[in-house]
Amino acid sequence: MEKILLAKSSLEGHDRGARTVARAMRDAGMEVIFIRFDTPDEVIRAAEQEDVDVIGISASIGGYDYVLPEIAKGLKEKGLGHITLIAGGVIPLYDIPDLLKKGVAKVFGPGSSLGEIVDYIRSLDKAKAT
Amino acid sequence: MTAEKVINPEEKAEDEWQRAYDKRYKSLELDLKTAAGIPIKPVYSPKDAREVNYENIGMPGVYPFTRGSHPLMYQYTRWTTQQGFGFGLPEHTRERYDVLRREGLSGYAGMEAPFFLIGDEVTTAGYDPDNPIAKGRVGKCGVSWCTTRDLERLFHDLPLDKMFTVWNIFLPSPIALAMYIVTAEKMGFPTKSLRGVSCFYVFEQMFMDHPGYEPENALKLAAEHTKFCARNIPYWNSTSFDGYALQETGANAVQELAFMFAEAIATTEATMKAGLSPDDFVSRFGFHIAAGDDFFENVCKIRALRQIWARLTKERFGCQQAKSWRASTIQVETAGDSLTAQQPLNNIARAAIQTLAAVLGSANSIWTTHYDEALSIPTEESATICLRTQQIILHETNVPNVVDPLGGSYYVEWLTNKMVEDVMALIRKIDDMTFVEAIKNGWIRQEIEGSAWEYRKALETGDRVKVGVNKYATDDKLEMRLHKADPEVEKIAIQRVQEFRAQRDSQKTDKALQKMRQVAENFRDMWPDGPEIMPAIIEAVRADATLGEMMEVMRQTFGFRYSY
Repeated sequence: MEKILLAKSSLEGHDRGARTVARAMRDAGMEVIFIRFDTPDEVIRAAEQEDVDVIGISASIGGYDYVLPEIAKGLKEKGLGHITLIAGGVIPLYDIPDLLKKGVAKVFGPGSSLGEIVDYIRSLDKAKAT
Repeated sequence: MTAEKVINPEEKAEDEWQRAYDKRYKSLELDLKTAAGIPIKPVYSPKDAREVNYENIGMPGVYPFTRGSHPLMYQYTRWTTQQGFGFGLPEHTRERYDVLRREGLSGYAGMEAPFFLIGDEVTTAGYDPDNPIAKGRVGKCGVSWCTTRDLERLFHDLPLDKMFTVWNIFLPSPIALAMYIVTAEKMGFPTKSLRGVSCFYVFEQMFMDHPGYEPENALKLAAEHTKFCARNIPYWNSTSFDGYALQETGANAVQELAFMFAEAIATTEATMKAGLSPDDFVSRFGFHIAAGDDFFENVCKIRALRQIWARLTKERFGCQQAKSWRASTIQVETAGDSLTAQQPLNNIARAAIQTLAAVLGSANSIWTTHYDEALSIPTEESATICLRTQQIILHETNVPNVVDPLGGSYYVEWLTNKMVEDVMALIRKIDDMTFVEAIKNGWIRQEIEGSAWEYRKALETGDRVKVGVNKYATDDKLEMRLHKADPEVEKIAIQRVQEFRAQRDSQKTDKALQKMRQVAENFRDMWPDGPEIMPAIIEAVRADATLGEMMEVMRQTFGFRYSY
């Protein structure tokens, strides 16, 4: 069973997206842990503690261009590179190539379907199983 | 002599319609609903409107104000273009204000263009830019400001007594107001000449993942802020109750009004407990609601809002004056959540249609949302198109020539009435729980999430259509110029606040902050008796305390926690 850590900044109030995605994931039988973070290392610590497969960061008012690369870097440094890092929210298209280069596996921007996100996570599980 | 049968022309028409319907559509099943799920008919007729008590409709400017807050609306003064903006450093934001003003940003009744200030998430949460929590976020989706010096950079040379300033700053609102008062004073404007509104949204925590004060303390602060404004700044709106964010989180139109009013009722009752008569302050409450997908819901929601507020103020609070019954600062913002990242130019059509609904509903101020809403904060170009949208409706369509032109429509009168009934019923439900309990036990949150989930499911199945997303989608990626944040902003903002602290008399500041803490604690423990809190905040501002430093005192005194 896939285990996902969904995280958003404690400064940002927008969580409709994250909550909706969490519900879809749970309905699909995945285990979802939801945290708020002040700094990126809190996310890494939680991911390690909870032994998750995927980290999903939700961001809609900025900060992701600092936070996401920091998390990706930290995961690598701690030998947690097996954890897939994905992001969602209002992330302008022009920022996505850089994020993908810096260790984010996929960005699910506005208009992404819940089915798309669930299927993607499932496909990771299968890839790891083979 | 045979008596002639009196033919009722309405019944005759209805019969004929029914026969034509049965013949043409035979067994067609219709399941029509508004976006909020109110079942509706395909055709409305005079008897539907007649079921509505005329006393609930009346004339514009007359109790219960369903048709408009004043006898004339746009024939006397256009609605305010209340467009929010803010990014980077104060001087960047001031530049945008100057551009928008040049392009027609318009105030009410001949006043200067309103300055609708959106703070970045750091400022809005009440932290200074050099706090570690701010890293990567300074000046990103709002302007970074934390000192009176910053406010001078924003407002220098502006006629503050002739313009409305909107403070989209949520919990730090009393501090922001204190800083504005001190800044304005330095610029030569006495406090009582200031005009504006504090968006003192203390209850976002009830439905969003926004931290807030302990709800009981939040009410005390809301009451105190209302009292301070009523006593010291006659043209200041102590808050504008936030229906918009409720809607954006997923609330349907009925929930949006009901939960917004529940907050308004709680705030009013708390302020009365603090010793004021409601006639002293309710006329200075504003309302901030959304215009979303459903066109007629948008129109009827505004009409329903005015009617409900009139009834609440007169019957529930016992207000005696017409100015108290009249909701006269209704800000309608076209719904951000209705706009798409896909095929973004479609959003110009959406925002135009929603703006038209706001005009038909006689809104007092309108914020048309920009087409790149789902991609970034607005560029000069996309912000200007918002102004043009409003200017086209104002100058080209002739719609503003007649107040409430949809008044008398069988559907509109029926739907307005139905929304009023449904909203009042939901308010009664919250009354039974009490507002604070409804927040604490998560009930309001759950209701909204339920609606959000229903909406999402309907999108996934295609029952709800979003053009360009789940229907008529294309793979074309439109190249467009989007706003890009300036990476130097964070460095400069940090430098500035550190310089500010280095140059002040820090002993004086520390003393003033200590005093503020003492007063805040007494305020909290002795309310509704005990001291006022604003004078101590103003003193701290005069002693050069920063926004983050003062908010730290507030957070520690009044408790800071996340939604339930």
